[in-house]
Amino acid sequence: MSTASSGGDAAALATPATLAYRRPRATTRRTPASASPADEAQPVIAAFLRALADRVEQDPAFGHALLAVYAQSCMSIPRGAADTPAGKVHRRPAAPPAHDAGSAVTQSAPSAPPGPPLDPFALLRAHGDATLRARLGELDLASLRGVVRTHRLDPARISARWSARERLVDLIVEQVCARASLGRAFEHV
Amino acid sequence: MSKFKANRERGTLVPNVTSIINLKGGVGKTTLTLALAHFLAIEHEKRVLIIDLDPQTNATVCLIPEAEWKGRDEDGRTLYQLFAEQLKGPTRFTADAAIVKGVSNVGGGVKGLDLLPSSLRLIKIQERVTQLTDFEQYERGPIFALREALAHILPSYDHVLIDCPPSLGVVTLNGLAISNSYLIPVIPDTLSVLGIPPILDRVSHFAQCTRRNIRALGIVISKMRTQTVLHAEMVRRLREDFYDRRFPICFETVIPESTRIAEAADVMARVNTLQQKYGNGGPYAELSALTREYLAHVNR
Repeated sequence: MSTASSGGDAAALATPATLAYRRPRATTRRTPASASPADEAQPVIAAFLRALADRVEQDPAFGHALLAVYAQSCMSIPRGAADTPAGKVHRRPAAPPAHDAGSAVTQSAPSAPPGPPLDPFALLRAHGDATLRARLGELDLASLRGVVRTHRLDPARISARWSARERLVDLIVEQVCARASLGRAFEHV
Repeated sequence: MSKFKANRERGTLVPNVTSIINLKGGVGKTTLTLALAHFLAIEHEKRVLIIDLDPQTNATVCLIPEAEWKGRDEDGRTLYQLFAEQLKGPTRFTADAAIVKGVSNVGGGVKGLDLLPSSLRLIKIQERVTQLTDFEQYERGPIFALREALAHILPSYDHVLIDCPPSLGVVTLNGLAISNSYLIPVIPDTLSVLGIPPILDRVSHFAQCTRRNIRALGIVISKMRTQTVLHAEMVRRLREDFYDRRFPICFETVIPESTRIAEAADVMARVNTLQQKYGNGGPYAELSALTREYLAHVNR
């Protein structure tokens, strides 16, 4: 996902709704004769997203609702983003993300990630540790390693040689639960 | 190696008790305490006790999980109990019950590395305990409560390291009352260095009044950013101040500013060795060298 743009377009892109979908403009003008059905759909999609962006800007509650749906879908939202005012852009971490196993079919094209990354902290917060474990269980080894690496769950890299997915799932659940509950014992002391 | 070897070499069974102290917070007292303790216990096979006197309880939760600390605190097995009893009896605190054996996340626990845990609840009572204390002649107040509680325990250790709070209140004085040396960690910047003279003065005054010999082992530079001119210049001045006999010696080894050191505070992280905990090629080498330098100063 990228906010690829430049100059004055940046301000116009500063809404959650437009964050994912704006693409760089083509540098050459297409002739109507060469336009494919996908090309013809682009103005429609763009108009839809602009209307959506306008609504988000006019109605913060609507923006919050969109973000909540986004978080519940376990897509990558930085912690606390759902509480921020609509219109504020959060970038994803630059580290290579893990992807859902169902869509991560080919290992040969890492530069074209086919699905949204799994954020174990958002998943734990939204659905609990049992769901987290279940969703992690659907991921392949490379994706599990991606989760560990992205969230730096194993700084000592002792899991680097592990080949059993179950061990990585255990590590991720253990570390995510521990970090999520950090400081709980210090409350109400 | 015999667990009492270091003490026998010195002809006594009194361990090396070192307070890690600075009036400024955030200078790396806890980091230094934890690193020295780990390297002494693992690489030098010493029996080490960490006493966490800081009510922030940071050293404690870097060595045992939060939940375990909470259970112990509620059972009266932390230093809160000891100091609360100075305000009102009866005596319930026993060091044997309070000390946690084989702490740390390295290899699931390090044999010979023990902890006397602190408590957040100390914050609530330390001022009341302080009011009982005479800070001029140290003839009144619970200054020796820790010494009395640990008298029978201390000889079983080679090294005792005390993580002091950033103050010279009655809790810190309890640490100094069992110490025969102290270390001053300092970030090489203006505000941290300002904290050095008051420590030297007050510790000297306390040692004189209580007829103790508390040796300043030296200054340890921590959170050093080698690319920063301010830090490099301040280190140079600290070393010059030693030659002017103004400050104690500045250790040759410096602790770098490092993400790995920050990550090493996580007791839930899985690590099996010190290299994994501190990062091989990272701060591990510096901390190992620092421990050797510490031992050289202690045995001097």
